[in-house]
Amino acid sequence: MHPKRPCSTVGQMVALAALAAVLAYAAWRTSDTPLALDYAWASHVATAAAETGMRAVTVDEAHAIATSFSHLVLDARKPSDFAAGRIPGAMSLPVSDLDTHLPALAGLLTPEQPLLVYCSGAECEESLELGRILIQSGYTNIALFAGGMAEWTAAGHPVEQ
Amino acid sequence: MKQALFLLGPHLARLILGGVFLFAGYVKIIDPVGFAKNIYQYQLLTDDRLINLSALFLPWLEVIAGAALILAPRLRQGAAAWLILLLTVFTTAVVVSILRGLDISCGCLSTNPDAAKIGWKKVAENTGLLALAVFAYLHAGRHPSLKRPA
Repeated sequence: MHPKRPCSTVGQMVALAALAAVLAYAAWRTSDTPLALDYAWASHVATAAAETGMRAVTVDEAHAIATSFSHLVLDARKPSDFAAGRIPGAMSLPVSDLDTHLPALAGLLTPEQPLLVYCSGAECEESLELGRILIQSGYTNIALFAGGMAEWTAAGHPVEQ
Repeated sequence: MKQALFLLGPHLARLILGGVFLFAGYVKIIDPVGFAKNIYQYQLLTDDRLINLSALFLPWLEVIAGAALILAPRLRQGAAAWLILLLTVFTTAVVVSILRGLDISCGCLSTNPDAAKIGWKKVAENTGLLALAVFAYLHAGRHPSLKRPA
């Protein structure tokens, strides 16, 4: 008996993809915490912030906060991004270097001090991470501007350099 | 010696490539949310449903193609073709994102946001894997069970 000839490359690819699809579906159906197919990623940071105990603010609210000086505005991006352009009055507090900056901040602020955190845009998570660390450090009044620098500049608000 | 290397080369290529994709798929299968976030951060897909479906399906395709490349001689040409396609798409996404100035984690061998960021080193790694996949594809027929009947 002759061995069977293998089917074409495309046929093999279809068979492999079909098997992968069946297994992916089975894994998704049996998962304890399945990924929601309509999970909205654009609001991911804002959703996660709200779950962590922060208040998510829009670009208009962020603008009102920055112009009224009601909060200390904290920029969670790298120092080079901060230097290139920031929300006026913002202070640099990069998540990559919190060990040095956070203790200095602790001496200046009360736990109730209103803080506004932001990073580059809707896809970045440095502001979320900074907010989480600030909450763990005891700060209780944290607003997060998920739209970040991208939304700020798109709205035509002034940028400090 | 030369003949041994000639025979061993394709096996080694399949083992390395298959192993890499088995691992890459596994780490994403156990964290589909993390992988969906990685895909979103590339900003190439804008539809949430497409992002989430890709995050659920692609890791399994990586695992199945990786496993077939090592274990299923009759399917390894198709497996190698999938890996060529996947590596081409992934590498293009990385290059486009570097050129757009995105500072994001790769989502290649880990879904951890603190994992390796995209960069030209990752492009070089992927190009090496792509060369290996092309080699595996071209040598996919070299197996005694795949000889055509006389």
